[in-house]
Amino acid sequence: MERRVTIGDLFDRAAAEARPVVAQLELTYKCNLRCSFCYNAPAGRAELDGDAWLRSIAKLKAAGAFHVILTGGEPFVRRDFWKIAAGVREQGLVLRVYTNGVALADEACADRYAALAPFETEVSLHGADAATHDRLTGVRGSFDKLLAALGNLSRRGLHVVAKTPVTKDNQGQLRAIEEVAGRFGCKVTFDLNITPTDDGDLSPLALAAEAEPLVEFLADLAARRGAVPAPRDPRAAGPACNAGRTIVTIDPYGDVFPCVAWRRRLGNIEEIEDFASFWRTAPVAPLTEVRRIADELPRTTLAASEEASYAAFCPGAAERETGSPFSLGEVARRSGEIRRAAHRRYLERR
Amino acid sequence: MRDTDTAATIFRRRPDVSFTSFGDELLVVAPAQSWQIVLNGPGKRLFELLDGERAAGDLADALLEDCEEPLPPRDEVVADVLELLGDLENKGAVQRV
Repeated sequence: MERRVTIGDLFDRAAAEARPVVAQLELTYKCNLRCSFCYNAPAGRAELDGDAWLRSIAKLKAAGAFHVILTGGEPFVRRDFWKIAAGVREQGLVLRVYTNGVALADEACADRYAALAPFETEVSLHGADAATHDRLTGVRGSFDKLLAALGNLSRRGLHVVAKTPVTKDNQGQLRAIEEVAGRFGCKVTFDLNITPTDDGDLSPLALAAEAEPLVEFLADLAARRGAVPAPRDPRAAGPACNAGRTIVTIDPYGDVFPCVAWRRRLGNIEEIEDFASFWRTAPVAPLTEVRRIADELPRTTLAASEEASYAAFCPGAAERETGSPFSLGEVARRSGEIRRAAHRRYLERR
Repeated sequence: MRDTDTAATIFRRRPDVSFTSFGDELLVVAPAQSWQIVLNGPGKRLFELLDGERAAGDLADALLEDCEEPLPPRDEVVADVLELLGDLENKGAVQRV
């Protein structure tokens, strides 16, 4: 019997053909919150204007982009967010938005947003109560606005995913955070890794959660949701990640990167006439390099130890933390230990 | 598919739907239901033919032109077209004109 072709198969094919299916556009580094673990590193240069973004989106579409993620900073702080988002939809592309939700607390804004028919909205939920969320965002009232936004999006039938970077401040609230999101029909994804900023500042790492609460939470999550933190299969084919293949990131200044986390500058979208050819032929060394590294990692770094096989590993974050994408680094090593311990605890309880 | 559907029933792609080709496959994303699916073969061809003007019978005729002998009965192909379009309607990808 012929096996059904899955979306995963299509993305594997896109990776093999180096088709940038997912384009992540950092429209601005401006934000109306002041999150203590933010990884953005504003450069103080002039950001692309709306017309430049529309030209960029057309180039990305010609190269095979299909999912366009508008993010920041906070994308809604741009006055021309609507023009850019409408441009994505008018070109027949899938719109996804990463936001802190503050703007969408407003009913009229939520109406306008729903009219764009976004496929997915990802919001940042940092705590189960105002005290925790607002402490991490640095802005009082941000939790209440986020809840209002979740209500607005839920009532308009929009698909929302809540994302929670796990820190010392919220490590004891993870079940409660799930419940808050669940009230609005949202699932939560928990990010165990607090990473250095884009310019290599390691200070956000001090906010990382303690190990034991995470082990317990992940073991419990595995039992409840079936999300078992299994090790990477050493026989699995393919690269460690699809940075620079199916994924491309453009920063607010038009600089092109292989991924939001891997900050090796590949060029500037305004200066690349034929982006499809650029991505396909990889005429610049950093692009061929990241692809080669991603290919080598599964049989080098990720095969070097059991904890590495469990690690939530990102070569870009490793490079920012240690200077080398081949170094596991403290962040990923710790995530590997936590996931391995959670897996064992889950198996013991079965 | 509704009992009242016939070869004259017309569907079109919903305006909020996005789709793109990956070689022989078509990835269709329907934000209204937050749903995506891979279509191939006749399903892909059918989705690409949907222009809001051709009725189910016209679509079946177009698909039959692609078939090799012996051709399946037209009524069966129309029924298959209506079944697939009904499924896509439930998933927010197409709508009746």
